[in-house]
Amino acid sequence: MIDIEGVSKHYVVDGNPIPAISDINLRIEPGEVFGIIGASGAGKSTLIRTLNLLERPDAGRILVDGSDITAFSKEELLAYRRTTGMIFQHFNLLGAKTVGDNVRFPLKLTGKYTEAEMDARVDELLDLVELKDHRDKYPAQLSGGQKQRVGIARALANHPKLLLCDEATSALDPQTTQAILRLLRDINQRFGLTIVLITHEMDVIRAVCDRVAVLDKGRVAEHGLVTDVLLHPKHPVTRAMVRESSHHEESADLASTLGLSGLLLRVTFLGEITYQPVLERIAVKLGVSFSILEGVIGRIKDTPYGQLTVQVMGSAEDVERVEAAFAEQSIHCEVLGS
Amino acid sequence: MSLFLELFAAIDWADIGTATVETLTMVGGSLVFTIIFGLPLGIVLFLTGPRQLLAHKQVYSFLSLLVNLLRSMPFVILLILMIPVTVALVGTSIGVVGAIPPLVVGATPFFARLVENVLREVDRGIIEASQAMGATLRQIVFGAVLPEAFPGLLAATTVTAIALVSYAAMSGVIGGGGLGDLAIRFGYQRFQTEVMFVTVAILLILVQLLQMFGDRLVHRFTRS
Repeated sequence: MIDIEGVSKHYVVDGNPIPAISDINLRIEPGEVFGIIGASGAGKSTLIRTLNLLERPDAGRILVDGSDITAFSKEELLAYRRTTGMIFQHFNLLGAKTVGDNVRFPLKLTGKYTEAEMDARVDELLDLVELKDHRDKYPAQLSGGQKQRVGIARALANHPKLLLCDEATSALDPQTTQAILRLLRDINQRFGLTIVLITHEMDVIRAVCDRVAVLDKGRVAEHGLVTDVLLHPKHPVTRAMVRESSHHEESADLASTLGLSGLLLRVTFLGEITYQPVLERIAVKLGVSFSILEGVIGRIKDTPYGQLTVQVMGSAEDVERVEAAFAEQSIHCEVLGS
Repeated sequence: MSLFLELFAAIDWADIGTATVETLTMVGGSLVFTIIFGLPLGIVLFLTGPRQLLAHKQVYSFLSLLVNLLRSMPFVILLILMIPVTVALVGTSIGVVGAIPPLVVGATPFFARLVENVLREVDRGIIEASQAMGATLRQIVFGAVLPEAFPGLLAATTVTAIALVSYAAMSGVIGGGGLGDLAIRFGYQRFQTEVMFVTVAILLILVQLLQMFGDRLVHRFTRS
């Protein structure tokens, strides 16, 4: 769907060039939800804006379905933007237009539809985002979540293949965030729409994304499946983010705090096995016992996962047998040290 | 009470009525032309301004200088300087018709600057969203920016109309007609202070009514 090849962009601040993003290379597959996470100033906002050329990169190419959008003519760019939806942190609705007219605006821009066709499409879209009764209200009369729903309806008006979400839930409370994320997942599945979103919240990535890229100081620190990146973060920035979002201490710190001398293992479950009594079975089978020191069980998008830090009570050979037993069930197990 | 009535007995109310209508005609006529010239100028100032959609340093600096030049000129001087131009344009430099060209030239840069400021207040996010939807420049300006700025533009028009009331009164100095002319001829040259008093009172009422009307319109079109 999208190939980002060697994209860089800098800004000039007080006469000095400040790089915003440097040599970004990413591939976004059709139909996936791709998350870009980073602290503020990491360049994620610039990066997502290059995908519809609100920011023109200084270098590099952006191929969408094989054609380089940076080489588009004016007309080609307008046509591309009309079939690429975008939603914003602060919604950016037209305050002087009703909800219905906001959704109608992108349809009108194309000049392709009759009034009746536009009416029908507006109704259909407002139905999709459950705002049919609010058609004649003005944005100022709506709550934040409702405004973002209008934003989503507006972004979907021209049947886009790609939806860009710029911190779409950052101005919303936690419940509303969940509802908007559910809606995004729903439209992703229902219409096979590719979604690229940027966020600074790991919970957003965990809830909706298939793959993620971690941005640090304008560069991709790491990227991959959300399950891989979140459960086995490699880059220090990612580790810090994951730790912060799960409120966990670094396990080494944990060991020293608790003054533990035994062997610490970090066991990661992924998929349905998460809900099976794996630890108990191994304990019974091998005659060892486990003490769970910390852990989390949850879901990444639709995939159940669990990550436990356990202390193994037993001899060194026991630990090896435990490791083998986990390996046998394809459960990831990492020795944290003794 | 009788003293009060006596004071006003000498006033020719028909003259006052005619002068009021003339003033309204001058304000109304020049306001229309001020909007016709000032709105596009304001839009161009906005678009060519720093970091805007058509940012262009030379064009912006030139227009900005022109606007400042006209705005810094005292209106009385402009009235006199404009006389040959006015004659060439409308055939006379006196009366209601002769007053309108200098009024328009005086008010257009003022209004254009107000328009520029109002448009700059429009949330950049709205322009960005319109761009992201594939709107052309024309669609962004006419479909998003101007409708969003409409209440502000109404307020700017009100301020300009009120400025025109005082400019129109000033044009009485060069025989512009209307209440200002009356005040100068009777109130100043013939020492009929009561005429001056009545014209000022009418001007005050006029300004008050314009402001109220303008505020009401602004309120009607504000969606928040």
